[in-house]
Amino acid sequence: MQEPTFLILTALAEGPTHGYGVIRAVDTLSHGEVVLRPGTLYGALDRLAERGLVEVDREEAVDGRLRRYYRLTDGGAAALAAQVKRLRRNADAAEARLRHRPAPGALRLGEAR
Amino acid sequence: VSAERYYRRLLWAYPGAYRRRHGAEIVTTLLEMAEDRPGRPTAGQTLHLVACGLRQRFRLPARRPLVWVVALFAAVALGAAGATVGTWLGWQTAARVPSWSETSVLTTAAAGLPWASVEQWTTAMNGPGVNSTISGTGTYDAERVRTALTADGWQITRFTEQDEKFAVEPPTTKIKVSGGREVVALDPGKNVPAKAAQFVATKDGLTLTGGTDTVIGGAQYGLDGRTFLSLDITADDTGAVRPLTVAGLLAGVLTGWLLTSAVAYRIRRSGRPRRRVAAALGMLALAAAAVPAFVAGCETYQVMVYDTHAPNQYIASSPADRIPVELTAAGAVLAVTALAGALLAARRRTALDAKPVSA
Repeated sequence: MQEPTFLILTALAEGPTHGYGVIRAVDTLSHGEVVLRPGTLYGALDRLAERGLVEVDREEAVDGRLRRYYRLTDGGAAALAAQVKRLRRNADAAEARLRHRPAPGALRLGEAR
Repeated sequence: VSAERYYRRLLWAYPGAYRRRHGAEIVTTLLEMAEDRPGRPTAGQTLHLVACGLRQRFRLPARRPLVWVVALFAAVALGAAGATVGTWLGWQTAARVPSWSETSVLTTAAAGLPWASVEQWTTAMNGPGVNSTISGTGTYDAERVRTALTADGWQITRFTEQDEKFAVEPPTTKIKVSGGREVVALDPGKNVPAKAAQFVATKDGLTLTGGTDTVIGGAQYGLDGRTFLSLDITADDTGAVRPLTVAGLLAGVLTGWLLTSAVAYRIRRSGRPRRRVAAALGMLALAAAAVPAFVAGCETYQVMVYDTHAPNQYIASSPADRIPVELTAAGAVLAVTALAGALLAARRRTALDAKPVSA
């Protein structure tokens, strides 16, 4: 799962959101690191809908404009949870290895100067 | 131009069905973004949206491996068809080969004999050519050949004459038995002298190669004056044939892929019974396209590997030659008909299209 996809699913995890809502949520979630553009967002939403991970929740007309809200399906929630687990496991492993890293310049056992 | 109309115009990069389903909400999102950060969208944003739209046209339905196979096959088949069209277009830029009557007049004038036999042909590079032969009892006259060619506007680039021997009785091997031993002897056969000439000429993008020979003597065999002359006239490649063949190939590959994407999404959105009929017709179209695609592929290969520096333009044999033309034509017609049927069966249902993707 790519980062934008992960963030889009995360943005929808709390409840149904419309397109621009997802873009703002991703901006906040990633601390401005991931800027989602409409082309990317709707391409991803279409693919996620095809795979049954998201679906249309409802449509609203605001000032004559169509707003379509998307929600996470149960399958989408499961996929997101599985990805969270994978990321956490990898992050934990990375953290543990970093802790065992020798301090810069330290002599390792068996290593000749 | 209002911002909304500007955004709607950008959405033309997307496939029609996608635009109908997502267009309105994408415009809403773009307008809401613009309200937060006023000003026209930057060139980068515009380009990104257009690129995403074009990319959408190439996408195939997710988790449908068969559609990928179909897309690849369609790309190859239409690529081969496109290359054939490209080759044809390329040859349209070449000089026109002389007509039946023009060639006939030239041949009879060069040979000094009546009744030439003229035939149209195509080289292995699919270039146009005309072949003309004539035979009868006449005289050998190199000057007559030169004059006939020059009078018709040809520039002679090579003209070689030589004395030849015409074999009346070919050499044979005879076994003679002498004193109980077998002796193998070679009979030299009998030859009659002949005069021959080979020539090459050019005229405004055309090349002519030819030859003539006349038997001198041999009256006892009824051969004296037996004359034969043959001309091959072909159009020269202007240098446009291969580039246009490649351009046609690429255009065909692109069309095959885009068509598969469009048809696959269309079939996906139609109701179950229609979907089955459309998918079956689509597969029939592919199966029927196999033979014409193979033939077109072989032709394209010959065009690309043709030796344009060969002294004579030539015909190459390929596995496609064994396939009857009628079968190729029938396959092409069936493929186009089945594809049209598939598109009709999976035709848009506007009522459903307006419904959300979850429908």
